[in-house]
Amino acid sequence: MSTSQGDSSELPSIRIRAINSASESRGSIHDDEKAREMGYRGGLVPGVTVLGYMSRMMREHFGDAWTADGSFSALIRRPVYEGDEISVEGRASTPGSGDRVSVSLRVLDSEGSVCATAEASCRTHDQLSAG
Amino acid sequence: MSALPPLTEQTAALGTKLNGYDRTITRDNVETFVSLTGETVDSSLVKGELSVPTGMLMGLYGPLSHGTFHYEAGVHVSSELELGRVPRVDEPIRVDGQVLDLFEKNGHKYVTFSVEVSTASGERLATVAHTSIYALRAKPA
Repeated sequence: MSTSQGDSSELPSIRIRAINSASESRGSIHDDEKAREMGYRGGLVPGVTVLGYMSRMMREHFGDAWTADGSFSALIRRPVYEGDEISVEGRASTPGSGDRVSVSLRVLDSEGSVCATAEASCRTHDQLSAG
Repeated sequence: MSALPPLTEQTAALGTKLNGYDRTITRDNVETFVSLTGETVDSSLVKGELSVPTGMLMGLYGPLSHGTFHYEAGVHVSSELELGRVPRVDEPIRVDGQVLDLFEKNGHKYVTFSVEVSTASGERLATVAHTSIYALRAKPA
């Protein structure tokens, strides 16, 4: 973890250029034509990809502790579009007995608008080692 | 025209079972997914074995919902994931689910599916509560 502030730590941010892998899915919300018809600027990057940006951060920082028994609750707030320059931020804390780490995550577009948020948790590395 | 029923309050009553499916996620599938999130395949090694990225588990609802109902413009709103263990690449898995909730908010119609991912022998791997808008509110005339 990079910077500490009280009992929480900011995780190093991640930057990603968004790719709409489902743009060829005709008639879906990922299709430019259909999405514009429905009032969006263009086809939406699949939500699973957007959530994947945040689960990537959990994997990179908490490794096998994350995949062993992680929990993740995410909300998509705004569309992400093809080519958007995305940043992912996370802040980790260890409330209560300290055997689990809680992380608040968010995905921002290049204008700083929050596109998605998540609350995630997993055992700490120490707890994982202890079984 | 799809042979599947449209997703409505009548066809998707609470507790309605979704058409489950068997799947084996391959290395190619993982490579495609991690290319979208900017990861490398090596980042999916768990105890030395190539495993399914957790983000992919939140997409397994797709064949369930679209294999049960016909609706075109679903908008993914939220996912709640509880992990037991991530499946390994090439490990056969089973995906089942049911309708957990249907509700309307600000004129949009939402559906929540509960999705259970297990091994072929029935070991629970993960659960996901997935919510989508299945009918956007009508645009003002």
